[in-house]
Amino acid sequence: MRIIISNSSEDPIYEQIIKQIKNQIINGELTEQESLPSIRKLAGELGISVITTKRAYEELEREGFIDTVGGKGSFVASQNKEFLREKKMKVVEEKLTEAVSEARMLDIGVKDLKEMLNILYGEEE
Amino acid sequence: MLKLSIKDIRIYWFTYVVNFLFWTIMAPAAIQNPDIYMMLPIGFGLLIIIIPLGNDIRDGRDILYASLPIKRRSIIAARYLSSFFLAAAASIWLIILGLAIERFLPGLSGKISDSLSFESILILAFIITLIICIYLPFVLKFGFGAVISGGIAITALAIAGFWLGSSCLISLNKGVPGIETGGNGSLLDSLSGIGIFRNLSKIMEYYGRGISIFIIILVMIIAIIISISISIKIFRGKEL
Amino acid sequence: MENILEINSLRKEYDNFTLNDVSFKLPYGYIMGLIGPNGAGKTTIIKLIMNLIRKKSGDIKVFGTDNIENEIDIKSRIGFVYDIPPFYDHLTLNQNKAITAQFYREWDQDLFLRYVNDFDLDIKAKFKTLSRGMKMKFQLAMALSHNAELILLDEPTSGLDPVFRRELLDLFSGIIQDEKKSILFSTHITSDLERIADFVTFIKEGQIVFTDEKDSVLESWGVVKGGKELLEKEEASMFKGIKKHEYGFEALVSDVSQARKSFSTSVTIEKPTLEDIMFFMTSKNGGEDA
Repeated sequence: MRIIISNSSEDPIYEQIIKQIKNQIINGELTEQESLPSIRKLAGELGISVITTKRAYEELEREGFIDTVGGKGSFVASQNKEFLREKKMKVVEEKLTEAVSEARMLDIGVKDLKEMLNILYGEEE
Repeated sequence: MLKLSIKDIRIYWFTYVVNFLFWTIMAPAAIQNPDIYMMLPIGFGLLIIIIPLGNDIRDGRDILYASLPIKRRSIIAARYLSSFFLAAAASIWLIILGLAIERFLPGLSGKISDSLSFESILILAFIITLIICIYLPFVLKFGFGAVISGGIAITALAIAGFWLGSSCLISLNKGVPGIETGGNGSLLDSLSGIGIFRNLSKIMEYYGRGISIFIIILVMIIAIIISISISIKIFRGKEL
Repeated sequence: MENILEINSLRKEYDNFTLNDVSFKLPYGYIMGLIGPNGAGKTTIIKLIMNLIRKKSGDIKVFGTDNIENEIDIKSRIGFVYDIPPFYDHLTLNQNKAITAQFYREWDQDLFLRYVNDFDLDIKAKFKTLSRGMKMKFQLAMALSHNAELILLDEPTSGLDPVFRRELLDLFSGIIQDEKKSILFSTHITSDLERIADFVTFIKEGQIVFTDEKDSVLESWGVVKGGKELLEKEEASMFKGIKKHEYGFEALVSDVSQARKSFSTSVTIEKPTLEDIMFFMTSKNGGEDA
């Protein structure tokens, strides 16, 4: 697991943690049932407040990304495939929305955009 | 509490040794007059007590002890214990020294054994006890400024008081068998202090040895109890 | 969460300073920073907890019991580090330790030696020969070697180099790992608390300005910057410690969402540091709106 905290970021620290753990679960870096460090250990290692890590974990649990078992610690929740795919789709959707609004601002039409997509997909294959 | 008293000795042992040596060297000078020699323990005793007390108060060490799991009254009780112990050690040392000088260097000294007796040692203990009982609460109340000046003042007063009081007592009792004063036993003569301890012993014998001893010890105990109570009260309320 | 320390309506009066109605709580397993300018009352609070001075009114509970009724038991479970170290100058560290350690039931000599080693202390050295930093480290080694559950530190980092300060904070994080110990330290160097404090209590002129989770404080307070014309508005009353300059003003607000609502895009709102908060709150108009 990798967590990098930026003090100069606009995002509060707990949100940075949430985002990073979420992403790592979504793209498979953190696997199902993998155990996560305790909130205290994480806080100690990152040199931040325990309350911050606690909050991050609580949020992650609420959103279904991790499970916390009293006495045993926290684990990556069994992600059902649909759920995971949905999350990943959401990420792509967000990025596309950005691209669309940029395109609109620059007066690029849907046809041009679709062509761009084809080229990009072609490149990757 | 015992540990607390012992710490006073452990911490300053070197200073005590220096003091002991100093007084040992000074002693022969005073020994010409055995009665004056008997008063030395008062001065020496007080000086020795000032060392741990004064240093601790000046440096604010009480903050350390008050932060440890120790009751404030134990801190006070320990001070009394170490004060009495130190004063006793100082006195015993001087007495043994005096006797030794008398035995091995007879030319040097007056005869201290003339003034030495159970009664005179008791009287010495009595004076020292009173001094400690007044000095400790005094210093606790008035802080470091009072340590040296207060000590000297109280001791000087005690010695003067003792001298004067005893002289009066002796001249009032000049009829008592065994009393020897220079001259005709007027107050003025008694003030010379010659044989002051011997005379006091004789007076005690006259009025009943047992009862005199009993009264003196009783007063000592009462003084100690009152003094410790006052000191504990002062220290309990002290802001550190 | 059970509280290791609970202070309620504490009051202490001096001739020219009064600690007034101070209340805050520290649960087991967390770190609280007590911040405030010099003379605000931080040391007074610590002395009151240790019963070195007497309170006028209010109560202090440590480990769930009154700090005076159970004074001896409580003190055996507290480790203290004072601004001015109370040890004997002319004695060595080892001698100082010998005098102090004998009064702690649970003194752990091996642990003590480990800290001495980690902190690079020479136990044969005379106390007065130590630098301020080393004296503090020695106090810390003493405080941590008798299984103390509450560690109280009064200005432990002032006068220390930044490297050791960081190490100290890491040490603190390590101490609270088992959730059974807590640390309270007072400081006016707030950058130390920015990262590891769980709770922050800000005291100024004897009064608590706020006591809260550090994260909440940093999220709800903010530094506002804008044009001076905004100061004419009624809503400007929410600005604390206003600093005017040639081209605009800066101020602190305690409720960022309210500021956004009232001023939206006409101001820039930035995340504050604890130092910002202390700075603005202790300047001229910082006090009245507290």
